Amino acid sequence: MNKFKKFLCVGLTSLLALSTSACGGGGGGNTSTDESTVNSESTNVEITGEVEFAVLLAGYGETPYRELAKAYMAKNPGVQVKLRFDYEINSNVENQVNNGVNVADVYSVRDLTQIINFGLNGKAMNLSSMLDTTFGEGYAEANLPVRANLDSKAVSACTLNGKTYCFPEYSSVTGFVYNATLFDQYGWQIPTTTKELEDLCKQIISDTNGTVNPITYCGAAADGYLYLAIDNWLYQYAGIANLDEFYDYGSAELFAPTSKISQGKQLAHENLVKFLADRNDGGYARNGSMAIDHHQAQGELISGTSAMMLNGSWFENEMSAVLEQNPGVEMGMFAFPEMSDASGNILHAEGYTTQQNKRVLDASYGAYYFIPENCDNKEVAVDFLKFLCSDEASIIYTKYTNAVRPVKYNLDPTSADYADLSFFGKSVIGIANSCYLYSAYSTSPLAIDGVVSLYPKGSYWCKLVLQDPVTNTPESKIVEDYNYVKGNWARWQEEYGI
Amino acid sequence: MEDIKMNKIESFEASTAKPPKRRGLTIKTKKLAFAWGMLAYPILQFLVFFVYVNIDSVLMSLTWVQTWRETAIFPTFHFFEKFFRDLFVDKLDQVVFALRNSLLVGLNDIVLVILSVTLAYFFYKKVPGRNTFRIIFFIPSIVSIVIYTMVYKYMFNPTIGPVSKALQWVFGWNESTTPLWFSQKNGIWMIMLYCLWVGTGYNILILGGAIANLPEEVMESARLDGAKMRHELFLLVIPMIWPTISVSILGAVTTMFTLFLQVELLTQGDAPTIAYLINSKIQGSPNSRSEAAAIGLTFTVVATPIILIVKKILDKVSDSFGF
Repeated sequence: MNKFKKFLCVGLTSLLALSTSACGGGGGGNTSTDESTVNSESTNVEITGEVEFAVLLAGYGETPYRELAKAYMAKNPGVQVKLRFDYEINSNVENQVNNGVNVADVYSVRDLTQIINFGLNGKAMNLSSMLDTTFGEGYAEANLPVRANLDSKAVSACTLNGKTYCFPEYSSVTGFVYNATLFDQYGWQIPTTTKELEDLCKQIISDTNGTVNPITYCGAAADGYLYLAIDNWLYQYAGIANLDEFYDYGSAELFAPTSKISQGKQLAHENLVKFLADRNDGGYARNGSMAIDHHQAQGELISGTSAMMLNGSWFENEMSAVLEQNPGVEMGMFAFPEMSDASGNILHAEGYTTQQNKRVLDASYGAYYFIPENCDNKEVAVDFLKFLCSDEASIIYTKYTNAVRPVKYNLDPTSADYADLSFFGKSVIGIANSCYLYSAYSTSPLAIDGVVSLYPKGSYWCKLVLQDPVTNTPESKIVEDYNYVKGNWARWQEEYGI
Repeated sequence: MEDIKMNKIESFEASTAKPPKRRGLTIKTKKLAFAWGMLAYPILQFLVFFVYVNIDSVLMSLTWVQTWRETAIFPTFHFFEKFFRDLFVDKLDQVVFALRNSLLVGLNDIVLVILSVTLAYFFYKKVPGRNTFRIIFFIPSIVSIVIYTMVYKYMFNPTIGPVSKALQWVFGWNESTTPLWFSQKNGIWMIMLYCLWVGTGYNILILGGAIANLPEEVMESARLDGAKMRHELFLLVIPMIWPTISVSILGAVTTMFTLFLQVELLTQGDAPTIAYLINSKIQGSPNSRSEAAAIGLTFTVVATPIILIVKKILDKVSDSFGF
């Protein structure tokens, strides 16, 4: 019995010790964190030390970050860049920064509000002074202030009361991903209006005797990316000035059924139902595709059973394994065709504006770089972040991710910088180069606190409209949203001092 | 003979000699160390996962970070007010659906207990193929939920799913007219069906164990008195295993407030429950977490009396059965 007690005591003590150490160490107990070091081969010496860069291990994989680290160390051979790949960085960062546990020097995380709150609590570094410094020797943009090389809107989005706490890693470029091999085979042309898109869908059915579905819904995991079509069609319809006015959230009437934004939502949803409804229901989407998952849907696009789907710049990396098994298949992406009437006349809201006659596309920011105040290597971290804001780093990033950065750099897909890029990658940066990328952000307290958004009741309703367009009409949803905002507006004004 | 005598003397001396004094802990200290060793882990668990978590939740629910003013308000009932406004005034879909779905899940678990008792009884009655069925029912309880939800979804896939295919054949549906099983409209019913499918195995194991331990003499005596199966089930088996059934029913009531993983894996949040709503908000900004804490505390206040009342009722039934 005594032996049993001893055994039990030892067992319990060990368990206690293990659980205690598990609570205290690491980044929130996540076992998926991988730490690796990239070696430098260059000879320039300016800054010495090390910098740890914590990033999300997701669709873009490790390669772009490894290449960025390599390039930085080539410029600064005295610096060692340690990369921390973490599947759960977006949740682990909270514990790491707030409690000073396992803090990295530079982070790339998704939640802007979280970073701003770190900043307000003195946990994220104010980068304003770094942005006012100039690029040093060895940079193509030497002597240029860092701020001047960045998209001003991207800086504003990360700035609160004059303090900039972070900078966006990339802008999401989305569109219709298509099977370029199939398009080449049948000589199908890229549509620029919804009229042309509808003609194309009909042509696909006719040319293939209905064996190829013009469009497939992209699985339930991200609501088939329906919202990408809605937002892009809305942005193209509304234009820059109307969107700027809307995102100021100055009045409840911005949500009125007669407002420009609501009209745009109405048209966008009508187009969504027209194109994404099942073919059996008079649409152009694969029958039953709303019930299949994204792996199956994307696989069908690659195999040529379907010709197009709503997706984004990450498609190629996400499906790389399947694409490798289909070496003869080439994928591409084209920008959302502009909404038009039956004659092909493009529809724009009153007061529509754009720049250089470019199509306005939605390009929300993906992740944000920031430096924690309690990191160990602040000086090197600042220099590394400056490097990440350079043309060189941006080109490397784009080459390995197909994603574009809110930095003023070369995005010409025909340039030598992108000679090695796949057809898909070139088509993505071609969209970024030829369209105006509008990234929505707002300085309204209502938006900062998440009280209102494009869909003020908290969620998109495009999927509901597509699933049951008779019960869930866009008109009824717009009225519901408006009544909600109108009913709460006076209280919000009082609470938020607007 | 002399040798034997000498050995006996040595052996006697050895047995009567006082053991050498052992330095170290006294028995009392050892007992204390053992007791604290036993208690330390549960106490730490209690302090961290109950005391700390609950105090933190209360503080969090009363904190409103006003980023745009670079300040935080404490204490405030802002998030409690918001939740009640969302539920009763604005009737936000996600909140109303979450509450409705949670209630349905609770009721479904009561059905699950009834189904499990019935099945456990049939297995006890040695129906043919019972061992095979027992394994079939139990497999979902030991396979990862991620795999089983995937299998379940594929069963209802309109293109390749055997269940959907069979229903298409019966009702004349095609791929487009086959209901979207995991949508906002149908998702909760599919979650409930999944819970019945997966939950029975575990319950059968627990309840089956309780039934198997019933004294055979009692059952045999009932049979000799002419008791039929329904009499045996309702008048003997259920009363005698009532304490086990009580635990299962209490578990069912708490599931109402805790089920969320199935919602994510089967419907990607289209058919939310209260637990899913809370979980989705935890992953957001500090204010979102405060909102989650406020919702969590509100439901703690709601759930506690419900669970206590159910417990009281179950105890009363137990008393009536003579436990």
